[in-house]
Amino acid sequence: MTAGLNNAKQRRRLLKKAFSNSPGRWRVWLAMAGFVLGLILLLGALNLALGINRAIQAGERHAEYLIVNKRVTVTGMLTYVRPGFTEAEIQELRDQDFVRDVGEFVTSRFRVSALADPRVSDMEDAPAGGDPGGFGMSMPLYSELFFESLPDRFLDVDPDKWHWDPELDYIPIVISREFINLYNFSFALAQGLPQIPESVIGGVGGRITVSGSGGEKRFRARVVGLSDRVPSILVPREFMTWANREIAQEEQRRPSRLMIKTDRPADPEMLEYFKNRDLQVNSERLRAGRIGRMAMMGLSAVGALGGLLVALALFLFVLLFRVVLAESAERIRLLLLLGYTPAMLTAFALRRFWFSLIAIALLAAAVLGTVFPLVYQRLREVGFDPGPVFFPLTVGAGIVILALAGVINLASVRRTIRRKAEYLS
Amino acid sequence: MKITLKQLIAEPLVEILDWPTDVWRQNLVFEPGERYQLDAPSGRGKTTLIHILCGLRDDFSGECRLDGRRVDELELSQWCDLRRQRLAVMYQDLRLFTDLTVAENLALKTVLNDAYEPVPGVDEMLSPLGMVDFQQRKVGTLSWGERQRIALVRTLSQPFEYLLLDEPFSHLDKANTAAACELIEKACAHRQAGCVMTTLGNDYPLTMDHRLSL
Repeated sequence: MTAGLNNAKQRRRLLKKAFSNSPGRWRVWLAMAGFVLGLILLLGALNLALGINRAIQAGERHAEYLIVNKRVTVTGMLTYVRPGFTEAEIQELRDQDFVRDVGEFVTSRFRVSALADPRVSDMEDAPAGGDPGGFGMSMPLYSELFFESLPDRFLDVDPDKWHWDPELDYIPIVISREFINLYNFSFALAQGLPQIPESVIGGVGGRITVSGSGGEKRFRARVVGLSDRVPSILVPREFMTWANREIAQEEQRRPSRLMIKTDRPADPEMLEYFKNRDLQVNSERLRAGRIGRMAMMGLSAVGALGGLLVALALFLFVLLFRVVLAESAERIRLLLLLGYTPAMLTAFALRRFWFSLIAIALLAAAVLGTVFPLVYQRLREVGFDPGPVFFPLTVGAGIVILALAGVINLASVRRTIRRKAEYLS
Repeated sequence: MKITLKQLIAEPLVEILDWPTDVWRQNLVFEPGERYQLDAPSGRGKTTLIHILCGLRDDFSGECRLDGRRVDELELSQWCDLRRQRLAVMYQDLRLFTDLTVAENLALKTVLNDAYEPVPGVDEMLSPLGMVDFQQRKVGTLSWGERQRIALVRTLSQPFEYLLLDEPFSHLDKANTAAACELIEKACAHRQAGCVMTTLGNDYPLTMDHRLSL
C-alpha cells in the first residue's frame, strides 16, 4: 500500500521532470498572471458594487419625504404663468415604483394678516400659567402671511391638536422649525427682539385676519407644532378648503408643490425621473443616489474589464496549456510507449493544472484580502460604509469562475492528449 | 502470449517484396514461451514488424493477432496496458529521455508496476553491463552503446510475456553482447516469456528456438 503510494508520488515526480524542460512554460505563467489580475478586478468590483448596493438599500428602509416643484422660469415670471402639476402628472408620479404616497400642497388664495399681541393672548387664549409678557412680547407684532395645507398624513405633528372646527373661531397652525430658527438666530438678534424658546412656542397666540372677495373673518390662532419636514406655514386642510371657497371665492388651482413619501430616497431611478421632467427636489439624499449611481457605473466598467480579462486569460490559459502539451507531444508519445496510459497522463496534467488554479485562487485571495481591508478602511474614514469586506456572493463568484476554468481545461486537456495519442494507435 | 500473423504485409513492402521470407505474406505463429530470431539485411522491414507488433503502426494488410485479438482493433489504453504488463519492447532507436539521468529513465519504467520486482533486478543488470556508475549521468551524455545497454535494462525491468528486441546489440562489443544475452536469457526464463529478436543475421550467445528470415 505504501509502496503503491510512494510509487504514485515518485511517478509524478518523474513525470514532472520529464516535462520540466518543455518549452512555453513562461507563457503559462503569463496567462496565470492575467487570470489573477482579471479575477481580482472582477471580484473587487463585484464586492464593492454589492457594498454600495447594500448601503443604498439600507438608506431605503426609512421612508423619507421630499418636496417636489416645477422650476420657476423667467418666462413664467414675466407672464404670471405659475407652473402647477396636472392631475395626469400627479397620477404618473403616484404610479412610480419609488413613490409610496403623494400629497398636494394647497395654497391660500386669500390675504392673511397676523397680529401677535400679548394682550390678545392674555385675554382670550392664555396657556395655563403662561405669561406672554414673560418672553417679552410686549409689543404687538403684525405681519402679512400665507398659509399652505397638506393632507394630515404628511404631517409630523400630534394629530389631536390638528383639527379645525368651523363652529369655533380658532385655527391651529404648524410652522417650520426653520422659521423659528431664522427668527431666533437671525431676525431677533438683528432687531434686538427677544428669542423664543421652543418650549413656549405653543403659548404664542395671535389674531389672524383672512380677507378676500368673500369678505373678512377673524380667528384666534395658536402654533400647535413645529415641523422639520415642511418648510411652510400650515393650517388644517378643512380650514383651507373652507377659506379658499368662502373667503377667496376662487376655484381650485393646480398645486405647485407636491410632497412625496418614498422609501427609496437614494434610488438613482428617481433621480433620473426628476431630472427628465425638470423637477426640483429638496433632498440631500438624492445626491447620495447620484454618487451611488456614478460609482455603480464606474464599478460596472471595472467589473466588465475584469470579466473580459478573466475570459481572455482563461482562453489564453487553456490555449497555452494545450500548446505546452502539443510541444510535449514527443514526450507524451514516448511515455505512452513505455506503458503510461492516457488516463495517467491526463490525471498528471490536470493535477498540475489544479495546482495552478489553486495557486491563482490563493494569490487572488491574498491580494484581495490584503488590499480590500485597507481600501474599505479608507472608505469608512470618508464616511461611506461599503459593508463587509467579503460578501459570500463574491466568494461564490470566485469559486464558480475557478470551477468553470477547471471544467473547460479538463475537457481541453483530455481532448489534446487523446489527439496526441491517436497518432499512435 | 501467442502472436499470430496471417498473410501480413506492411504497406511499404507491398511493392518491393521480391525476396524469400518466412514472415511477410505467410501464416506464422509465435508460440508462447518460444524464442524467435528473425534475420534480415537492412530494408526488409525488421523495425516495421516490431512496430506492428507493439502497436506503433497499423499500415499493413493481412492480419496480426495478439492472443487472438486483432492489433488494429486494440484501443490505445489497451496497448498501454499491454506495453506495461505483457509486452516488453526494446526499440532500435532506443527511445530514452535524453535530458533525464539513467536512474530516472529506468525509474520511469519501474514505477509503472507497483510492487513489481524484476528478475534479474535493475542493479544486477547494470553491474554486468558496466553501467552502475552511470546512474546519475544524463542519457544525452552517453555513447550509443551505453544508451543501448540502458535501453535493454529498462526493457527487462518490467513484467512481460513476450519480449520484442529490435537489433539489440548493434552497438555493443562482444563482452557486453555476451552479458546482455545472459540477462535476456535469465529474464525470459524467469518469466517463461517468448521472444522475438531481429538481427542482421549475426550469431549471438543466446538460445533461440527458431531462426527465420524476414
